[in-house]
Amino acid sequence: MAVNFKDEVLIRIFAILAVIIVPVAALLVYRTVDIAVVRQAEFKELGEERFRIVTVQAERGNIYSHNDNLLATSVPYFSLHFDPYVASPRDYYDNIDSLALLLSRHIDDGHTPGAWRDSLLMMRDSVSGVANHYFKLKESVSYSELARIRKFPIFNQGRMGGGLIVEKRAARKRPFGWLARRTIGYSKEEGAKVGLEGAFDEVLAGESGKQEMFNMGNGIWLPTDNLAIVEPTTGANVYTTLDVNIQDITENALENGVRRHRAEWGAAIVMDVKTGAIRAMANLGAVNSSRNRYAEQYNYAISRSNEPGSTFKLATMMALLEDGLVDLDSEVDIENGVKTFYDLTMEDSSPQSRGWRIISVRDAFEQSSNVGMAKLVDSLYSGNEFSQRLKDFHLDAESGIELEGERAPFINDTSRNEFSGISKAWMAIGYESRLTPLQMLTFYNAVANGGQMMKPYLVTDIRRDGRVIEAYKPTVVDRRLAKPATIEKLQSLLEGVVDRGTAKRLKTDQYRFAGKTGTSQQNYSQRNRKKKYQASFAGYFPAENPTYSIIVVVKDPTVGGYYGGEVAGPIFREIADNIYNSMIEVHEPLNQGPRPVLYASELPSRDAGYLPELATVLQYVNVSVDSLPGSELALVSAQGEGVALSSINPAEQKFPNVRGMRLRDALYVLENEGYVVHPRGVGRVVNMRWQSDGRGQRGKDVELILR
Amino acid sequence: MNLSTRIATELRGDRVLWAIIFILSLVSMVAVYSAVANLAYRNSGGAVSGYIIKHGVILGFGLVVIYIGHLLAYTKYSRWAPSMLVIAILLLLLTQVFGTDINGARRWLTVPGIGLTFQSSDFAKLALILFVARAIGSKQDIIKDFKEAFVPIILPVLGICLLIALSDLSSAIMLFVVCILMMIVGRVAMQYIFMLILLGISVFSILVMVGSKYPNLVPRAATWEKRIETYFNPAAAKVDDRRQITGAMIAIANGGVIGVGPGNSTQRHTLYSAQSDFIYSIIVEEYGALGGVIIIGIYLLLFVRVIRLVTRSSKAFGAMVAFGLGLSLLLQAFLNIAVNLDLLPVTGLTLPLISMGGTSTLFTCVSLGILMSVSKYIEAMTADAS
Repeated sequence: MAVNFKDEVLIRIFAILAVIIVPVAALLVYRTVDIAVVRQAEFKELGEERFRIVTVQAERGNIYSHNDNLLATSVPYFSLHFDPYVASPRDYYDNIDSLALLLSRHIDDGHTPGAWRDSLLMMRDSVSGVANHYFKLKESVSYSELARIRKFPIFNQGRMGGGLIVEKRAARKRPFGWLARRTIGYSKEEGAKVGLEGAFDEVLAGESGKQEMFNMGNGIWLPTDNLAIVEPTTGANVYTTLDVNIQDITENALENGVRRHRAEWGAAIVMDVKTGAIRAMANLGAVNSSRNRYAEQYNYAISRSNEPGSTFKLATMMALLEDGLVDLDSEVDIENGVKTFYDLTMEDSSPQSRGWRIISVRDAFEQSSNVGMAKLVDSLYSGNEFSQRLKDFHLDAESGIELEGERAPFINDTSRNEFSGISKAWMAIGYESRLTPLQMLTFYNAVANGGQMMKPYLVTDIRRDGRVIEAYKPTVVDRRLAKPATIEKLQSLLEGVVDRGTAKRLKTDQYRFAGKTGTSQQNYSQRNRKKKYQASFAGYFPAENPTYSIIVVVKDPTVGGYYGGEVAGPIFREIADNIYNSMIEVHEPLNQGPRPVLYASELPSRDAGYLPELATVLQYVNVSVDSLPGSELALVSAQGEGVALSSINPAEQKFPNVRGMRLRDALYVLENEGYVVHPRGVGRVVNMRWQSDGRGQRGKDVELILR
Repeated sequence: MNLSTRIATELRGDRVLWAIIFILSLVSMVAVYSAVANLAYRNSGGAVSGYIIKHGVILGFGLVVIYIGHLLAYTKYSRWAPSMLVIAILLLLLTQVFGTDINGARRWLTVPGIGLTFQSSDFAKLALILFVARAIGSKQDIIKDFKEAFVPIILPVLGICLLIALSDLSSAIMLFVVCILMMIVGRVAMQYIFMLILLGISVFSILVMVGSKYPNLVPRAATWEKRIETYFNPAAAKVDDRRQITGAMIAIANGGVIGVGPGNSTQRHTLYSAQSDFIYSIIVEEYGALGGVIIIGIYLLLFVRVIRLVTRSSKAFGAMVAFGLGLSLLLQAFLNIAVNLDLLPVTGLTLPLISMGGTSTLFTCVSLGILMSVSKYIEAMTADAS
């Protein structure tokens, strides 16, 4: 043997080192450096798909009404998916029956428990097809439903143990449903943004944040702890001028009206006279050709600009009076209600005019004589004067409402080609001009407000985390639209319309209101077509202290008349009536009348109850009481000319005696002592029946007979 | 007596090896703390403290095991080897019957009563290395003989490796290679070795073929096939199968030269077994290629120190045990790193002493304890000689 043992071992060891160990180590080092340094960029790129930046949607702000009712809010809902491969086999197959039963009961009762069981088995065991790790269970469940579903077997193991995948979404909810739907509007992710949601989209939306997510595998994305993220900023809340009650009243009245008259559409606006705040804005358009279903689809109130017709005569009168051209008792020859200006014949719509020649200007307005108004303007103004006057009244200016889509008004003038010799006459009666319902109302509101024109607005302030970040004050468009004397006369004219004129059938004893009817033919240029009208009524109430101004416009009523007084007027009344009834401040308090006098025979006896309340009642009816006991409850007993109050404390009795008490006090006493009260009847407790406890004793249940 | 001399008297044996053990333990704590993120998210909602405390306790216990192991005379292990081998065979058989399936592989045995689970192959590996070392040591005089030396050594090796291969092919192959290299170093005739390598390859091929025909006989065959297929044809593999390895590549690339710094790994979140199989890539991500090379260097140094033991050992058993255990640690480390570097299909082998793993860490520590026992003995011998 050439080499000894030890040398042979050493040679072999070094051979192994040289042949295996060192080359392998070198390879590993080379490969590490290759990946980490040499080809770093190439491999790093692979990593990018494992990370992604996601946008974290900010919570959208709420929209509130004037009285802090929630009009629109975002509520979370959850979409549920299921990965059947997550749960351990034992967990899965042991619990599959109970899970199937619960799924059938709570998630989709369209499938029987057996069918659910089969599909649960199929999901996991099926060898054909692609494994579905994302089986859709339900698109939307509420938080409380989710809490229950999370307790189901298998699901209660969580995302990692049971495979229930929960994703949070946010849905926009309008607690008042369709109420003011169009005014509140909506904002779609991409696409249409309308109403307040659209106009205030930016503040409502807040600022979305950025979050880096990484892929854990199996389609699970989790946020990394990378601090370079942007937190989302919650959207601000928008507080509106809308009053839920008035909006409800307005919508109901308008819907009744448009249904009754099978109209194409109707719009109604209620405005706060002093501020220009819009309390209600209702828009209903027919959704079918038979016109028996209506919905808030389009904001006619701000986007439909039509020739207003007779409601415009208020502006005509303002011009004539302001310029001192006529007074209310000036006379005008209405020529039996028919007159031809150049080639076009104008007729009064009221048949009464046929018998009239010379009437006062007041009558001409109150009876809505077209010829009267047209003749005055045609003869008293020349050139562009009348158009200019109307423009001085801001009738050619947009209202500036916050919402998108307001149509600009149009007032004809000499600078336009379409201005002709008859333009002045037709403009006097509300043609050759176009105004949206809101623009017309803004003008009427100025008259109601003593000549101060207010800008209509819908939003009072924007708040974030309870702090007001932007507040909108009422804006004065024109402090003095006309001389106070002119405004006074106009108000008396509008009151006259209701008292004597075209709206006298709408008159009510409850309160006084003022307004003007309007009827305009919308398609006079199309000679042979069926005539289409727009009926309107604009006004305010109460007449002596204008609080709300209202306009109602109904397009193309087909059934039951088409005049403003027939169609729009009743809607106005219904709105005004209901608002008036809910206006506490205008009603006389009931207890301000003469106080009742009690005769001795009517003095209360054995009347028991809460002492401060008894004392208040006795004081009100002028019954003198000598002294008040110091207790909480007291008993009233007649004593000659007066009454005496004695203190009682039924709670101390073994079985409290509550005879003579009203139910409220009796409940207070008995339930605090742990009794269960079963009241019968109305009034005062006249008898008490104790139920037996089953051992011949009085139990815990007591029946009260009230009379 | 100051602390360092006290430690020096307590810890006998090669100081460098002791230092390596402590350094690896420290690296392990730091690396696992970062790498356990994914596991912690899946099982405990992201809280890592529970895992790191448990890992620390196991490592601490492991160090105690090494200390106790090195106190014992290594000759004792030689005496225990045959009975350990018998127990190993029994345990492997038990595992095949009663074992727990984890990820489709039946490798784990639960100790009744205390609920501790361990891989029987870890024990078998230790037992076999001890046995082979003992056999080679005792047959040095007749080592070139086929019937007297080769066959008695190779039969248990084949038996154990086959049993392990049923559920854990990579461990089996590694153990087989370790045993062969031990035999080479132990002066077994080379012609038999070549014969053996051929035999090993053919047996494995037969297993795969039988497995694909009769999946019930060799349940792991399908996994082997898939892994091998995935390895040789990455494009054909499903994204999920390549996910882990791609993640490891990304992590290593993120690391660059000096790494992104401790705790800044991003791929630790996305890698399923970042704390065990893929801890090397997380180390490279956080400490760069430099860190990776140092880790390779540490294992290499460990092996070099083991060779130093072998050359200085006067007893063949001591030399062979040290060589076998050291080689198995080194090979396991290299295989694990090779997987991390996409040089080998995913094997499930951990990075010794660094990866998080309960009982397998303890078995590594037992190996190191025996190694240190040999080292202590050799140190004493050389001290006596000089």
